[in-house]
Amino acid sequence: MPRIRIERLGEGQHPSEILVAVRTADGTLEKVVVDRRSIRDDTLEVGYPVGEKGTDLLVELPRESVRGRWRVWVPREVFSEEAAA
Amino acid sequence: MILTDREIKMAIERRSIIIDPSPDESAFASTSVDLTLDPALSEFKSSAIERVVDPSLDTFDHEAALGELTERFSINPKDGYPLQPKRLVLAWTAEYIDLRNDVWLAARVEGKSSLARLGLGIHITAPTIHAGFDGRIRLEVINHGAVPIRLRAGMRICQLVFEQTLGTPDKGYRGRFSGQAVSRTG
Repeated sequence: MPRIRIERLGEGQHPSEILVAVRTADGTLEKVVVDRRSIRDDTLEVGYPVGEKGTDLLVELPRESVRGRWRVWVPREVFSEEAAA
Repeated sequence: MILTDREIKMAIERRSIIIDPSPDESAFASTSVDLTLDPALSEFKSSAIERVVDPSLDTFDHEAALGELTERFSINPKDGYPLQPKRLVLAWTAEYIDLRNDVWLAARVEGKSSLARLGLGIHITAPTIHAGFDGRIRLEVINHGAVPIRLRAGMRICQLVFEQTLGTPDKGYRGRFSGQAVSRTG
């Protein structure tokens, strides 16, 4: 499944959680708390893009962000699709 | 469409649903599976009453706010934690849930009637576990009742009801937009 590059920011409220950020198309950081198991090589699994605008893709985060967003516009280069096993 | 216990077990068998650690056979009911309470809790500080939070601001960060307003601790294994009336704590399920392998599955976390009758609620209007979720479920545990309720790690705290979606969410469609043009790794 497609993955998106993230930055690790810190701990979550629970030891199993981690606060990460996705760099959005406008350059801001969208912060979201996810399970540590969700992270692999500083990427996070997301679904396929649900929208496209120029070079940007609209993706749905696996959890609601700390600002209450589910879907964010990201630059295409932070998105990658894993080859099928 | 709600999954029955048989459908849930088959989904677990084919790893469409991952529950780790696996629930005991007795945790299943006809259309749900019970989950248990993790020892970690976050309690609101007494000083939190002096703060006003404004979630309407575009800059609002609920995680930062919770970090400032709450204290984390573990439930005492011997004495448990007596949740006083009208008090709210944040809690987690001991089980890790993974729905990423089946885009047609979502779930709802619900309370247990045996606890609800004592006044114990386990979520505040946010029961939806969206398709594609993975992690431990965060619970908002509140005592609406008249007497303190002792919480213990490992107690059955909530039940999970699985639902099959009608159709495929947008994010489940491969190459719906220019996904074909993205870089490939792995």
